[in-house]
Formats: sequence, structure tokens, C-alpha cells
Amino acid sequence: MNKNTQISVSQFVCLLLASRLATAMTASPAGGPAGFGSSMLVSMALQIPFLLLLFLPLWWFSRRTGRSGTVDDAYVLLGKPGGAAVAVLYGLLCLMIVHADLLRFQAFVSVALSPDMSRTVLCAALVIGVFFAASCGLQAIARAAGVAVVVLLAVFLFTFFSLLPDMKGIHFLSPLYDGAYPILEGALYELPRTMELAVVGMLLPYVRGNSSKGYAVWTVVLAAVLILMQATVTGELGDFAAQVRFPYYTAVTAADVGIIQRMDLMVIAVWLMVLFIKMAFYAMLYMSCAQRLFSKKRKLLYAFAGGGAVLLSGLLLAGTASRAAQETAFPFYFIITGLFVVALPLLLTLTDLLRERRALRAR
Amino acid sequence: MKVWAILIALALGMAMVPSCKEKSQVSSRVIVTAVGIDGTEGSAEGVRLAVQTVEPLLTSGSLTEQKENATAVYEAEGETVADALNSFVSLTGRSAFILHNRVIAIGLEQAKSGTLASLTDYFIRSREGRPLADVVISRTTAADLLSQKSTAFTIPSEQISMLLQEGRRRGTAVRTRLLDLERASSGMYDVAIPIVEAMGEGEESRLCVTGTALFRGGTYVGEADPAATRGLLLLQEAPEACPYVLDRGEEGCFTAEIEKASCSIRVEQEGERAHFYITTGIRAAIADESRPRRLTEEMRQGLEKALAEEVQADIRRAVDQSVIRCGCDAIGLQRRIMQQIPSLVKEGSDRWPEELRSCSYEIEVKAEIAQFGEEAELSALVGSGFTPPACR
Repeated sequence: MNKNTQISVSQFVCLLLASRLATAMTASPAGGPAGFGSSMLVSMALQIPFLLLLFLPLWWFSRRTGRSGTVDDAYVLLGKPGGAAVAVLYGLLCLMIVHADLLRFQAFVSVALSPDMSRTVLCAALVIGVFFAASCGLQAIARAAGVAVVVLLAVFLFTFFSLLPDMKGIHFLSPLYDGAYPILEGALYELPRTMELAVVGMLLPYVRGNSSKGYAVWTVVLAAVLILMQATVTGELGDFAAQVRFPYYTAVTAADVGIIQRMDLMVIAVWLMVLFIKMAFYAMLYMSCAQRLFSKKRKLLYAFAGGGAVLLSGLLLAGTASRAAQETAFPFYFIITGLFVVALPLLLTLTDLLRERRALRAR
Repeated sequence: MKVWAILIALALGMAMVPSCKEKSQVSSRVIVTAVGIDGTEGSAEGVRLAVQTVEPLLTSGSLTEQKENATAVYEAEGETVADALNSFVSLTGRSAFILHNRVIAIGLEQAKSGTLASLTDYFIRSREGRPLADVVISRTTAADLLSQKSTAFTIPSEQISMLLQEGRRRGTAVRTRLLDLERASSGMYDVAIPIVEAMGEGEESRLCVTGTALFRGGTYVGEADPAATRGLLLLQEAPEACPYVLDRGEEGCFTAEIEKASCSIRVEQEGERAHFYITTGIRAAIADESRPRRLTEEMRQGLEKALAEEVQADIRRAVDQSVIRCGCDAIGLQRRIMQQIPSLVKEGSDRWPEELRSCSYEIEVKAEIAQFGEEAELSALVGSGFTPPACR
């Protein structure tokens, strides 16, 4: 990414929000915590302190390094091999997230939409579009995210109020019905779905303004929107939500507002929009890692390589990966979150601290 | 420029997902507007489907130009609903498009012999299945119900939907949708489904709601009469134009129309059992009276008391017939205990909801009748506790 490319704090918030909500809209309770319902409402609120706590290493890092990015700083602090290793890890992480979203897209299309259409053509079109959008750069994606978030929030609110007359109070039990454990479990289960945490470190140099404040605003808005979505699902479906693959989508299919009898199509359109933006965002980060590793001039080559790898793996692993993901995804994403959100910023900050002390002693 | 490029890419992506792969979908598909499920003759396992369809090519143009036979009812048999729909495709040479399905009708005999889960699972799982499709039980066979012609609607199933919609407002039919069956399948509460009957023959034939089928865990357990149906609707706060005819002897006959009903259910623990306090508030207006005159305050108070007694009797009947006699928790009483006294359900989760039969119920009704253009305070209060016969 070009260092002159900067986005505002509000665009930064919208980008993270669009990215996270693309995951939330098709989140599946399969293999998740048992207390899927009212307790999840509290779990969503509990994410605010968790997300803020997880930001502490990065906040310390950004304060010490003065708005430097994790990849850039790794080159400075760990040398070229260390920096390259960090860039490779980030690049692979971004590709993995794009790949996971392609699988998510395929699963949703095959379960909720017409399975007759050619999966290959559809995925190829999406990946080509995503990598083209990624080549447009951070500013373009962030601006599109701003528009998408406004539309998304409007649709969420409209859906909630249109379903409100049909929601039932008896669907809501006390959040503590099964004790405090399901609440904690739910909050911990949601955390690895917030993979945006892992790449915030890369974005820091490109945010114009106080990114820490923006991050705090994002956690609060995110929790509020997730609570709204969870309330929609629980109020409309109750315990039945735990039995369906895409609870939010299933709840939306029950909406019937005047002449708009198919609210689900509207939600699908908005979901595709935010999913596209999310995939483009991570594809763009992957390309910036590739540019940092190699040459800045071969942008098209990186797009072809990344897009080809994502498409190929997405098509080959569609069925098996999504089945295996239910058992393995949670610990896997938890480790990744720990690595990129806690370990890496701490390593860089401590290295910086040691170097500073050594320099002081040398004087 | 870049934003425009992204927006164009988004628009293309959106257009590709819902598009039709085949160009001849309208003529190659039969648009299903209602599906009836009956048992097969001579086989205990199979199902016979009655598929009410609309021919899209015959419904083009204005309503006056449409042909009379725009709808048809096909029949198909199979071991399951999916299997029968498959044989329907072989029969007609066209696929069944159920996205516009409005009604799922189940023959009473079939409902008694099978479970709701086995009969409606296809529609719940289907991507095209609409959660807002009405579910009804036919007193005779589902095929009889779907064969009824409608003089008011181009698509006959719309008449059934309208019958249920109005019935819910007027206190004659619980309206149950596929979504309610889905919700009930998770075990939160039970389901009650309206029983519709085709009466009369030929041009005199009409559809009527004649009761409510009660299910416990998806299995048919009995039937609620019209008064109990009204009681169930009052507990759901559904009636908006439900008439009660009050015979006041020398004062004449009055029709009070319920405009709004509100209901709250409070639970208290009594040893190992629960005691339910059902409080219903009714706001009604005088729809007509046999001897029109200015109502005195005394007369109005008498009317309010009489109305409260009638409503209380209906609610008592609903609780008696559904919960105590049939063990059907369509009211969601167990869920109320889970909300208000969770420890009671947790301690012996295997005993519930059967335990509801031996719980005690206290029903209180507050009725308010306003004369036209006049607001009145809640003045009549009728309350009585009753314990089911088994517990006395």
C-alpha cells in the first residue's frame, strides 16, 4: 500500500464493521455453544471488554512505534528475514480469510439459493471481481464500505421492526438460565470470528486520526449490531435457531411487510455487498504483503497468483473443508487470533524496548 | 471511478445470483399454490398428495380475461411427501415450483396416524418452502378441501388464507403457519392447527373453520371446540373484532365486539407444582342491541360483568381442553415457568410438560365496554380459581 493512501477514522470503523458483519450474517450455530439464545445477547455485550483487552498489545505497540504498521516495523526490528516471515504470515492469513469467505459463499449459495447454477463460474466471477476491487486500493474499498454499512444498518433495523409484531416474548429466557458459563463460552466462541483484530496492526499507518478511539467505537457499534441481530433471531425463532444453518437468514425469510414479501432477497443482496467488500479488503492486504516481499510493480501477477490459489482451493475443498471446519475451526482461529493479536505486537514491542535499552546502555 | 467500478461489479454479482439458468421456467414448471396431504388407501405408510396449481400462461392479462380453469388439482402418491412430489413430476412432465405455496392442508385421518414432523419436513427443509404458508387440517380429506372452487379469488388457496386471517381476528380460527411448526419442533411449546371443513355441495359449497386440532410433540392428541378456540385466541391476544352475544333477559340482546385483548400469565410455585394466574384485559364496543337506547351506567356494568364471565368461560375451556385434557401446551405454559421459576422445570425436566395437567389455574378477566365515542374505566372484574378435576 502506498503510505500516502490514508483513510479517515470513520472509514476505518466502517471497513472493520462491514467485514465483521459479513461473517455475522451467515454465522452458523453448528458446533457452537449450547446456550444459543438469550445468553448470546449478553455474550455479544461481553465482547466489548474482550475486544478492548485484546487491543491492548497493539495499542502499546502503536504508542511506542508512533503509528507504524506491524509488517513495516517487523522489517525494522527483526531484520529482513524476520520482516519477510511476518509479511508471509500476514499474506497467508489474508488469503486464508478470503478462501474461508469463498467457502462461506459457496455454502450459503448451495443451501439457501439455487444449487443448479454453475458453482465454478460463480466463484470465478466473484474472485475476479474481488481481486479487481483489491487492486483499486484501500481508499476505494473503505469508501464502498461506508456506503455498505449505511445500507446494512438500515436493512437490519427495517428487518427488526418488520419482524417485531411476530416476535414472541416467551422465546426469551433469562440469560442466566443455564448459569454464567454459556455466556462466557458464547463470548469466547464469537471472538475468533472477529479476524479483523489480526489485521488492524497492518492498517495503523493508513488511518488518519486516532485509530485507537476508532477501534473503541467499532467494538461498541459492533456489539450493538450483533445484539440487534441476535434479538431478531431469538425473538423470531426462539430455540429453533439452534437447529438451522443460517439463523439470521431463516428469521428474515419470515418477514412479510406489505408489498415486500421477500425480505430475504434484500438481505442476500446486502450480504453479498459486504462479503465482496470484506474479501476485497483482505485481498488488498495480501497484495500489499506481496508487494512488501517482492517488487511493487508486479501487482497483476500477485492478483493472479492469489486469486488463482483461492479459487482453486475454494473449488477443490468446498465440501470437505466446510465439514471439517466445524470441528477444527474454533481452536485454529483461536490460535491465529492469539498469534497475530497478542504475540506478534508484544514481540515487536518488547524487541523495540530491548533495542532501546541496549542503545541506552551502549551510550 | 474506482468506486463506480466496484458498484458495477457488485450489481453484476447481485444479478447473477438470483437469475434463471433455464429460459423456459414458466412453462416447464407448475406453480403450486396449495398442497394437500392424505394417506393412501390400503397402505399405512404412503402419502397421497393433492397439488393445487395455477397455470401461469392462463392467468396472463387482466382478471376479466382469465380463464375459469386457471387452477387445477393434481394427485400423486409416494412413500413420502418428497417421493410423491417426484411422481407428480413424472405424471405432469413438469416440475413443482412451491415458492408460491400458500397452504399446506393435512387430512384429519393422516394427521392422527402420522406426526407433523414427518408430514411437513419436506416443506421446512425445502429452499423454496415459505415459512408463512398456512397449515390447516381438513375434517375430511385434504383433497376435498383443495378441490373447492372459489368465487371470490382466482387462486382458491387465497380463500383459505383469508378465511384463517379473518378467523383469527374474529375469534374463530387459530392461524398456524409453517413457521409455528418449525418453532414448535424445537420443543418450546406445542402447536394447535385450525380444522377446516368443506360444507354443502356444488355451488352451495363453502369452507368453514369447525375446531382446532391439538398436537403434543407433533402428535395429534385431540380437538378443541369453537369456544376453546376463542379462548386460545384470547390468550394469544389475537382477536380484534370478536363478537360476543350477551342475552340480558328483559334488557334485550347485546352484541359486544372485542377490539383489543391483552393477556399476562404469572406463575407461582406451590410445592412441586405451579399455580398460574392468567389475567386478561378486554376492551369491547357495543356492535348492536335489540332495543336501541341510551345505556345507563348500571346496564353497562352488568354487560361488562356478563362479557367478562363469557370470556373467562372460554379461557377456562381452552385451558381445560388443551392443557388438562389433551396435554397440549399450545399456550406455552412450560416456557413461562422456565422464564419465571426456572428451578421448578430444571429439577424434574422429564416430568414436564405432563405436569401441567395437575397444576392449578386462576383466571381473571377485566372487561371494559365503551359506548360509541365514550371511554370507560376498567370496571368489571371477574375472577375465579379452579383446579383440574384430577387434582381436587
